[in-house]
Amino acid sequence: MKKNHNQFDLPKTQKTSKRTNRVPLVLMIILALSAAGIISSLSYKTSIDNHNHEYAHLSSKLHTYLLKIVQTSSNSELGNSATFNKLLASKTGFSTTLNQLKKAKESPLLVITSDEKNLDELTDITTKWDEMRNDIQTILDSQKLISLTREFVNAVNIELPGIISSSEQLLTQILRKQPDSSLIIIASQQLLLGQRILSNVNLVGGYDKNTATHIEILQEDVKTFQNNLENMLKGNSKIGIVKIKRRSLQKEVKDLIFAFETIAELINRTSNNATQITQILTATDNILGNADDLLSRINILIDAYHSNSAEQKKIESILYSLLAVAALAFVALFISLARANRSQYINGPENNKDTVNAIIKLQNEIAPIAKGDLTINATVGKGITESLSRTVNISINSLRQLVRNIDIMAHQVSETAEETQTMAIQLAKASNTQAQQLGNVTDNINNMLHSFKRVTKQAEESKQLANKAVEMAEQGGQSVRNTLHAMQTITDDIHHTSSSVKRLGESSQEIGNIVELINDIADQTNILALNAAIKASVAGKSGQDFTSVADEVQQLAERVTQATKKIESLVNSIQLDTSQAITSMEQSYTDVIHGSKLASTAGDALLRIETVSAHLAEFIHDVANATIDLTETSQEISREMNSIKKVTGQNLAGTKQTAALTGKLAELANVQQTTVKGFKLPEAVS
Amino acid sequence: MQASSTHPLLVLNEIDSACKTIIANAASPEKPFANKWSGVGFQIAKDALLIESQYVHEICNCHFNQSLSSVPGAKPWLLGLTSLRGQPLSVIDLKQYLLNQASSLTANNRLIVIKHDNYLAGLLVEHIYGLKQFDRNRATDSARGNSSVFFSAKVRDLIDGVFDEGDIKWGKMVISKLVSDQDFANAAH
Repeated sequence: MKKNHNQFDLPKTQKTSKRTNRVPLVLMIILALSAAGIISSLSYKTSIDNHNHEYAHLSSKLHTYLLKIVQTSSNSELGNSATFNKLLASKTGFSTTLNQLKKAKESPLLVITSDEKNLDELTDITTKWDEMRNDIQTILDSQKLISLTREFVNAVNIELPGIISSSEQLLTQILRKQPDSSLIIIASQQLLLGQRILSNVNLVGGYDKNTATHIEILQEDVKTFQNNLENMLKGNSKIGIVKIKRRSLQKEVKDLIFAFETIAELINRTSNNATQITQILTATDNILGNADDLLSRINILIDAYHSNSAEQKKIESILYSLLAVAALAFVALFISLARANRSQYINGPENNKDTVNAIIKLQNEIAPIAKGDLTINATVGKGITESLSRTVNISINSLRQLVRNIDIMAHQVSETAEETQTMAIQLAKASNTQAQQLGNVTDNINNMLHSFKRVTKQAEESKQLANKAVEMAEQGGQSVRNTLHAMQTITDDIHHTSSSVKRLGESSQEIGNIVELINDIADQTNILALNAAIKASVAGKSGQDFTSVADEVQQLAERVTQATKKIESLVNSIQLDTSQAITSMEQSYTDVIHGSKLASTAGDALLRIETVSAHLAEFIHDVANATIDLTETSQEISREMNSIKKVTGQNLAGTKQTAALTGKLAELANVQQTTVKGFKLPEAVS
Repeated sequence: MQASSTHPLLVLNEIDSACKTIIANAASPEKPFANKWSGVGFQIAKDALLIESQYVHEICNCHFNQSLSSVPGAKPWLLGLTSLRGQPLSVIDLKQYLLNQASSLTANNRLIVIKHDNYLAGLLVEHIYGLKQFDRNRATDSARGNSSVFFSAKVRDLIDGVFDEGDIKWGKMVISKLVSDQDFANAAH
């Protein structure tokens, strides 16, 4: 109800009493109407104020709670029981506040202009909040699990370095006491596995989206570590691992197996927990994702309620104008009444004087109201001024109530603004620290990336060298095989030669036999010739011619004998030479056998070198691939760090915005308070 | 010589006929034959001895390893019995018999089969020089003092002449003396 009285119609001339009586009546009606208007608008305004401030207050509470939820659910705070309690408190607070807001929306007294929008906003907020509530519940349910896992990770971090240094010692001992190539490879692999297990446990404890892969690798590594220890203790011919022989080494391996059992169990339990905990990550991610949206919606809501305050200002201005109208009407009324009273006074009876006095008294009493002093009350006297003074009192009461409410609201708003500001400052600080830490981490990761790239290059070079070593070992093996083949040929040749020489020996033996035979024949011939000669000499003259023949035969036999003697000596010398040749061939045969044994040994050694080189090459390949993987992972981490940095920046910006808004809020509260200060209130209970 | 023609062939012919006449006149079939003494020369220790050809039946290469069977209870110089183309033959170690020294048994050993009145005996000797021919008259008497120096005692009894050939003094053995020797006949102990 608005009334604009820009002009005041004062009767200039004294009108008839009727007429004169009508003007005050009209003015009184105006006054009453404006008073009613003031009252209703006051009460309306009060209720609107109440509601809007309440809503704004509730909305900013929502804002606060949401920020707390975001803060407490971030990963770095997980595991702290205080954090969990805060999370629970914030969740409950948000729920209750939201319900309050929803209940309030059912009240019919909302400002019309933003009514539907607010309703929609609330519905959206409710839906989004339901989602987030589930995620928060997931996190709260896992409190015990998270703290347990944290314990496990810490325990492993304490125990595992000890195991790694024991493995180092084992390797040194193996190199000293039983430097078998298979053992050396396995022992060095243990060191690498230990480091990898340590880093993976910590990665698993860090709960990121790769946790599932880390868990897989971790469990595999643990199994491999234990298998290697078993193989070293018992030996494994299938994959070519030699059994450890020295007692002291065996004891060390047994100790390692024992010590590692407890760690293996811890790690397995951590892995089991970690799968459950990755669910928490999804919940946290969801919370973070939804928080932004929710925050913006809440901000819209807060703005909407604040914009209502613009409405409220309009109402205030209406109110004041109404007040002014009322005052003017009142004054006009008074003047007209005074005039009427004056005329009445001139004309009229003495009761007009009383009325006039009463009115004058009333006027004096309520004059301070215009200055803002609301402590006064109009005395309710008898007569015309009774109802008027009652009305005025009621108005004054309403005004007082209004001012009190405004004050209270202003206080509450400024309190809330302070709280919010503190929170915003804290958040800003936290964001700052986060940004700083992030900067450090990013630097570290960049350094790590550089060194990984270096290691990758070196690993590539090692790969090349290992391949070359394998090649050369193969070549060596080939030349040994060639040597062996040549030696085999030599042996065969010697065999042939030996058999030929043996046959030669046999032939010369036969020659000897034949020569002996010839000798015998010569002897016989000799004797025969002699006998013939004897017979011839006895025979006398006829025998004389035969004697020369016998002589010739005898001489022939002599020559044969001599010749055979020569042949015999020759044959003997041949046989001697032959046997010498055989002996030397046997010697060279033995030498060739010996040489081929040496070549065979060399071949075996080269084969072993080949195997070891192949193993080394494989090993280096694995290392190179692992470092490439590491480099890739580091690059990923670097990227993720950058996105985290961005989010942090956004958080910081949002926090600043919040702080600015809070400042604005505080300003408005101050404005309100100053507005109110103009009014004086009685010290009674407000 | 008469050189009636200058052709070489004719000269040779003339020389040939002249030589034949000289030979025909100079040597009678009986004389050279009668002066020739042939015998088998052999060695016993240091002594060189001869046995006349007519007493030598045969000379054998004795395979005493295979074909000699010993006679139990015989004197050491009786090595045993052997068979000469089916005929039994006693083998006597001459060195053992004459000088009491066993002959060394080598491949050079020969068996001189002597015959005396259808009696055959085999004399084992260490070395045979062969058939030696001398002029009969050139034999010096063994009974003379000088020659007996060269031969051992028992041998001296069996020789009746010495042929001097410069560095070798040949003793002419008489078989009949040997055969008729008491010791020789008593082969058994």
